[in-house]
Amino acid sequence: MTDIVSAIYDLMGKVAEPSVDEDTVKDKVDRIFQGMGDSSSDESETTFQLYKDRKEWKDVTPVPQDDGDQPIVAIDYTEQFKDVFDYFRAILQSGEKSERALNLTKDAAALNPANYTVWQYRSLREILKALNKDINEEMNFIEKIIVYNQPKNYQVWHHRKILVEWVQDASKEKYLTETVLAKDAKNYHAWQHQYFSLYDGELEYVDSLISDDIRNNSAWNQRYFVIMGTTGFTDEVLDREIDYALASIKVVTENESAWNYLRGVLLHDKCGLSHNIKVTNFCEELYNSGNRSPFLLALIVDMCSEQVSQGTDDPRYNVERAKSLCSELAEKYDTVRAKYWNYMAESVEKNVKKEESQVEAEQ
Amino acid sequence: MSKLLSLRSIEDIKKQRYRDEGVVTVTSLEQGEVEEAVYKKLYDLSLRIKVNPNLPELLQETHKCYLLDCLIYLSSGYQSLDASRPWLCYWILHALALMEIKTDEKLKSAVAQFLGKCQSPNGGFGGGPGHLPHLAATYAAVNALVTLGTEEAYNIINREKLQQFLWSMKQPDGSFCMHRDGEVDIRGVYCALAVASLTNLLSEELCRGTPEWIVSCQTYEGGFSGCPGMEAHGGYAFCGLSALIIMGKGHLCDLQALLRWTVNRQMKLEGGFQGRTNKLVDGCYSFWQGAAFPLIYSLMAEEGVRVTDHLFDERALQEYILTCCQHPQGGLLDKPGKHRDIYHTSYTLSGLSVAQHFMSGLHILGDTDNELACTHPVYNIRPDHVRKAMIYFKITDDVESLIALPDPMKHVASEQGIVGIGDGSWNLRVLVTDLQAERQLRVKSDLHIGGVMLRLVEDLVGELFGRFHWRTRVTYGLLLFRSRWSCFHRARTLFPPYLATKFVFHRFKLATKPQIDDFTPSTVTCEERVVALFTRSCELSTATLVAHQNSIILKNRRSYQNRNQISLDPLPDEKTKEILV
Repeated sequence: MTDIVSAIYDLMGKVAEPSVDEDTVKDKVDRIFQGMGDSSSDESETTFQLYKDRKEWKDVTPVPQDDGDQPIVAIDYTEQFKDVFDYFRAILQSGEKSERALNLTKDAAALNPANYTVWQYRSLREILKALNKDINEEMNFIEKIIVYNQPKNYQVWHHRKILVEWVQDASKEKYLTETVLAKDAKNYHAWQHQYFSLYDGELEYVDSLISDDIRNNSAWNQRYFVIMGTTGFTDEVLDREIDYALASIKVVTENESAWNYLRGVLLHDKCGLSHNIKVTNFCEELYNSGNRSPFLLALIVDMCSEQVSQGTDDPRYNVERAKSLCSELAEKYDTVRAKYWNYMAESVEKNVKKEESQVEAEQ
Repeated sequence: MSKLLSLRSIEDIKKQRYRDEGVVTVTSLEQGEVEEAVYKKLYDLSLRIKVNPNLPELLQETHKCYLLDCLIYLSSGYQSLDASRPWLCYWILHALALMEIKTDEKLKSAVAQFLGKCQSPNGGFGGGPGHLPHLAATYAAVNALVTLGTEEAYNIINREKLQQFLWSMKQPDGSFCMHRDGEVDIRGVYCALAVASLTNLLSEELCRGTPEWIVSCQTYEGGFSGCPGMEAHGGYAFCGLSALIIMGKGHLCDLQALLRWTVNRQMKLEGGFQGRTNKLVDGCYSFWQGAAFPLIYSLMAEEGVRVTDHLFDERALQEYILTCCQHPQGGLLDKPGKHRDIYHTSYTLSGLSVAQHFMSGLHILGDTDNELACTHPVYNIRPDHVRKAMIYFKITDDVESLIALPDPMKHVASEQGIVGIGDGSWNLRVLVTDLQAERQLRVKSDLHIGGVMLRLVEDLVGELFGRFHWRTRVTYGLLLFRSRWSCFHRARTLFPPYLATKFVFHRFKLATKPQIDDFTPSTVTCEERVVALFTRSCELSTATLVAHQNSIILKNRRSYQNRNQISLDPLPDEKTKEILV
């Protein structure tokens, strides 16, 4: 049932990171669905047998949480939560590494997947190693938690990463990250995991995500990263990527992701921002067609600024143009950033003065 | 300079709507929905403000009740944050501190003792009693203890063990991992360095390789990512920038690209900030992105560029926070339709504070009671609490390491010839032109401007005022500062053009017991003047302090001998002395 609700939440686009919503999904499920007599989930409290009632745990004395005399930020734990963690503290204290301890950490991790102490104790350095467990089983377990329950949790992804490094096999990671990204194509953790397990043909995958949503900045960033990590921005690749960015800008001229990507690619152009004829011609054409995308104007401002400080004499890129674009941006096309644009206008002018005084000094 | 801001017009806001250019994607759909919800709230406000001109209002009282409730009791919904309880303490205490709500001593002690329970015997703090030490929990616990600001709280921290813990998290490449066998990302660096600098554990060796690692996280967009190669993100960008500044290595990053990226994160219609390009607005980024601005200003100052106003739209940000992020029953939230929680309450209020303060000036939208205390942009703790802690943790016979302590505005101060040595005190050179006398005073942030003037007079006393008893002067100094009215009046009405960027007078509410950071090196800038109060023999005078290259000049004294509103009756001596000196 928790899965269903999580899925519904995902559809509603509920989770915005970093999110710490007051009512967790689990909590909601308990409140909303238990009244309907639902007991199909094996994790629901109705069927859960408390550890203190389990015969096989009779030899262990539970260790209550020591909050001190006056509890602060005291959480009103459910009975199950308290029970599981009382026993977890007990095995942590005694250092017990057994099958039942492993199962206990599973319950504890399910109740609070953000509890890194639980994951650490369960990890390959502790219980899993001591019991010499089948790593694949653990991989499946963590995969379920990631996909259905906690796609935005540092601990679960880290646990997965350690397992992958241990088995030295990242072949299943493509499936995992793609499953998560299919639900939320901007999930930072999934991209970070993808990054750690680069695979062949990733550029095509990234490209497909950009086609799905041309504004998906995570995919644009990954495109950059994949290229940096594979071919690098050679002249040929540079040229190809400029075409790619320009073609995309043509489709949506106010898509900041594509503009930023273009700027990123141009970082590898030895001549700088404003000397690529393809780019400058594209920008001028777009401008002359009447387009006033703030990102277009912003790029032209920076082109002017670059040429002014280089002292080149391309008539298209001068201080006056930069200043008038800045004031248009401030007053009309990007008013929320008016103060930034006024500052930019000043700073372009300062560059000129610096340039002039340098020339004078040389003379 | 303080200024009152007014709302954007609803017609202007309407024009800011997202244009999808006929290409509808998940991003544009979600953006459209959020804009719709935000627009409704802003439109609603535009109607309500006609009836109640004090809007938008910060519901301080309800937020306070919500926070105090949470400090004691949290519903089982918070089980998911059971491994982040020091964070819960810090978020609540800091939010209360921003609203200048005093917590009672017993409660302070209880929080300190609880955090002590979270401290690991091996150093560092865990997410709860018995949890493994974790860098984020350690950062939260130290920030909470520093916010408490009591000796008991400071003494909770086992510095020796803490140092061992920090070192055990350090990776060969300069980064830090969050806990034993834990993940490595830029949060680790920030948490470790923030904690180390607050508790005087920062050393060059601890930072070896770290600036380079952080710089490798700056992306082609200009912001910082969690680790090299990833996407630029508001929370991580804050961590990267702050950590660089703590180490005094801010110049290593591409500042113009960072500024461009950060400034572009402010949403056109909503006014709030998004965390990443083409993502949705979220109240918490008001701080993560907003606090980058004062940090960027300080780096710009280092390059000789003086910023005279915020570079983002502080009015639109305040509008978003006050209109869209407040829960009517207390607490703040991400965006309309979301649940309230302590995390968003703390960071959204912190963002509001950043938007309200520029240097020493106040930029308030709505009722003047909306004013929050200032927050230190590196630590997100009130600056007076930061200083107090740094003074407490200093080791007197180790001045060298103190110099390395971070002051985000250090360069601004040294530009003025005012050199910080890390314990919060610095040398202030004062040149009194009328007397052709130069004096160097060791001053601290908790010294009131009136106190500075008195110190100056004390210093000159041998030559000039030998025949008068110090008490006479103290009395007059106090008279000028004794009532809230006179302080407020002087700060806001009489002196604003001069006070603006000189010495911070902004917490004038407390002027009858002047010790909050009325006077800090961070806000001293060139070419501006400040009117200071000056007593000489039995006269009251004002004098102007003018920053001039490397010194501060005192001139233009004007006699106030005959001002009849100021009584010259002596005040009780001992009390007077205690308050002012």
